[in-house]
Amino acid sequence: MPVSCRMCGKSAILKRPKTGDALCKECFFFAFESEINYTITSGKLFNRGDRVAVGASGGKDSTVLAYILKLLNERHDYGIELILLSVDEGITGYRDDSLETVKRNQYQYDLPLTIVSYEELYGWTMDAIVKQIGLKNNCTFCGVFRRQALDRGALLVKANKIATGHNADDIAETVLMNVLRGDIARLRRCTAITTGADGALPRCKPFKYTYEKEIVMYAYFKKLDYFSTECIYSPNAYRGHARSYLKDLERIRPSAIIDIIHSGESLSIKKDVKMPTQGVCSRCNYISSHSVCKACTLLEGLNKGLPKLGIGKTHKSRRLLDAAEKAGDSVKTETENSSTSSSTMKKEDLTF
Amino acid sequence: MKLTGIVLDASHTKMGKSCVKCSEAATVVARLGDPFCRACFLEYFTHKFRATFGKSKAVRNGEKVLIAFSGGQSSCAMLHLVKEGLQNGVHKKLRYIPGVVFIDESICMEQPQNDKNAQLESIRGWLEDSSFPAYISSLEEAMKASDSEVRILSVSSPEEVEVDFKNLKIDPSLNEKFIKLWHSTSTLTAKEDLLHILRVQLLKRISKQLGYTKIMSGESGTRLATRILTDLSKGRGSSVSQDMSFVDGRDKDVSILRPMREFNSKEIAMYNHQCGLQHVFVPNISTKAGQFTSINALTEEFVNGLQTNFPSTVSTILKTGEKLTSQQDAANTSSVCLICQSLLDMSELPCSASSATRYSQKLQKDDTNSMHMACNEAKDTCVASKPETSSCCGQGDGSCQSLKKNPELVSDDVSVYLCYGCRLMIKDVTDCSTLPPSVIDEVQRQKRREGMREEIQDFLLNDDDDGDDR
Ligand SMILES: [Zn+2]
Ligand SMILES: [Zn+2]
Ligand SMILES: [Zn+2]
Ligand SMILES: [Zn+2]
Repeated sequence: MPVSCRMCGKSAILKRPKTGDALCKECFFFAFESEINYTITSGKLFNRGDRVAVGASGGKDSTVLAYILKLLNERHDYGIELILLSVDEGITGYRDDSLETVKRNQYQYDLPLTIVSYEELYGWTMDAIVKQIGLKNNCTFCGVFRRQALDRGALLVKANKIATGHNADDIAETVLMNVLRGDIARLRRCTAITTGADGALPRCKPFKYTYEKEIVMYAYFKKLDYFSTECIYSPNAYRGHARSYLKDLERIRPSAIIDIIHSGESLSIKKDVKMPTQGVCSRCNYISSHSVCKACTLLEGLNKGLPKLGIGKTHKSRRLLDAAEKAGDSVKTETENSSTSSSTMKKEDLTF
Repeated sequence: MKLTGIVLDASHTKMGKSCVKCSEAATVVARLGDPFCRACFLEYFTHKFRATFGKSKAVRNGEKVLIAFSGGQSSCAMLHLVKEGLQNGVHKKLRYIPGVVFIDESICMEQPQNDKNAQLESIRGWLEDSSFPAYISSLEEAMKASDSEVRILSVSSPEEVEVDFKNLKIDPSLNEKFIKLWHSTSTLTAKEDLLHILRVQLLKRISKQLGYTKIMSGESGTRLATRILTDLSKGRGSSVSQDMSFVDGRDKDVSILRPMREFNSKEIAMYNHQCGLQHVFVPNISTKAGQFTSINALTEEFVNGLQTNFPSTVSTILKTGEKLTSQQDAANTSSVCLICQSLLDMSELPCSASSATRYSQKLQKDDTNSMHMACNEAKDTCVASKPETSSCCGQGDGSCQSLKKNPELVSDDVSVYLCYGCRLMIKDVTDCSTLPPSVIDEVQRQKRREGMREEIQDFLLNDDDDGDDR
């Protein structure tokens, strides 16, 4: 017995994760695209003449984002110019494949692509960083560096705006994370649809109210080509807890994701709570709440060869570095070494 | 091995841990890992409890304060602390006049009558021991019309208690009303919210009726940290601050105090253990249901799990909550939620979670000519009109027959006066006519006023003046 589409009455082939309604493929596309157009227009994300860099990782969010921005730009005549911007972190076996996907997207969607690498920008690949600091804090490095890499890359291609594929699940998760971490400044910022304070260029999130499941569904039925980007360096445990809590919440009440974003939007912070003042990094001019930005601080640590191991032990870390550079198949011992260094590091982490 | 909040066993004591305050052998480890002897631990606990009051100056001398007693660990510790404090003159500068009330919620639980009776017996033991004026009421009373008095049983007057204690003399029609509402609520999450809200409403009514101006509620820090997360998850972000602060002043006449918020659940269990206090086991509606059945149960599990692995979890969440505020003071009184008295938080901004939700719903409701969708926000769109089989919003599919009897009130009518979180809750109530009269009467009153206003609209000079100085 075929179920009929809630919107047009033809036979339905899917149940919308967001509303639970049975829809046919065409109506789902229509609803999905209309909602994103609504977000873009109501949130005034773009102005005519904008040059928008789309952060493209080859993953589902950014692939669907590139596709739909191009589609909506043509359909509703936003009058914007789109550029794909990829960051090559230098993670063997991770970016190699996903960059291939991005390159294919470039032809499929007929959008110009620029790739900026960590090596060009910072002189370090993620693989090299992980060899030095171990797996424990690498997501911090990766996140901080990627943030700036997008900005620097966007400036390079003369874009005046960045669009990222952060979806509703990501934002809800970030709200929870910031509560669990007690990061009040980020808690206030994380639900903004466009953020200007974080980087050199304004960034917007057209998928702010879009469920991750619906993005997958859209890509599936549109047969969009994406690469499943599970970072091979495992995400930190705490975020993992928040994510699985969110998934469980969604199972109990599917609207929980949007409900959390609503909560985040309606929080107000006491006037007497001190907020970090935004300044500019004295080394790289990137917007920062400290005199030296986090990327530059991390970079300095890396370049000085594990300052966290303490002075006097530099030769030890040098050996570690050398070994790391030569590293062929001795990955196991490497990891052991680096995990000891990262535990030593923890104490000094406080100085950041 | 983690020592936080674990009563040391004999072998540890022999190993020579000594109290951080005096040099006696330690028997207790408090939250920061500091070992205490029994006397110093009790001293620390009492001092902290007293300091919570001192800091806020929320209670005036001679004020009548009603202790909301539930029989749980934290509640027992609270009652004990108040009693000890007054007896030993701990509150030298502060002399308030305590009373204590227990609200029987057993109607929500399917329990053998014998178990219920045994619980009530233990509760009565606690109430009598307190030597304060003590009262018992039951949750069904919250279904009484707002202009009539709720029934409160005085435990302190023996004749009344002897006769009626075990059946509490509930009006059968209230019982029936409550059961109807309960059965009409389709999810455990909404049931938990409803239970909480009705309990708070009833506590406030009892206080006002008995002349109390403050209610003392015994939520522990652990409970409040959990509440912060459940609030966020249920779209109640704007009430986080009121829900976790020491003073909750949403009601102008009776405010709620939370003096146990500085203690986590382990510390409280330790205090009870050291004082030999036996709490009463009163099951709650999700006790048997399992962690994936309601947002509260899931969140409790989540917080406890994190707390075990990261002992600063609870205090970090509380610190975050501490930095939030509600915009209640700045707000117009007529713009608070009819059910929970929080600020109405439905954002009118075009780009917000609530407008995005409205848009999705409109998109799918508009089945006839969906291709003509424009972004205009019709005034009839509202969260509660979401076309879901579980809602009662006039789908005409036969599922809301009961509503036809009362065409005056569909969930759309109620929802416009509610905050985002309460709208979510109401969505799971299949038949809105089963809501407590206090809610329904107020909705109808507001609707009448709006009708009046419309009629005289052209003659009103000031747009902002709604003539409602309620
Ligand atoms: Zn259809
Ligand atoms: Zn810098
Ligand atoms: Zn001592
Ligand atoms: Zn409410």
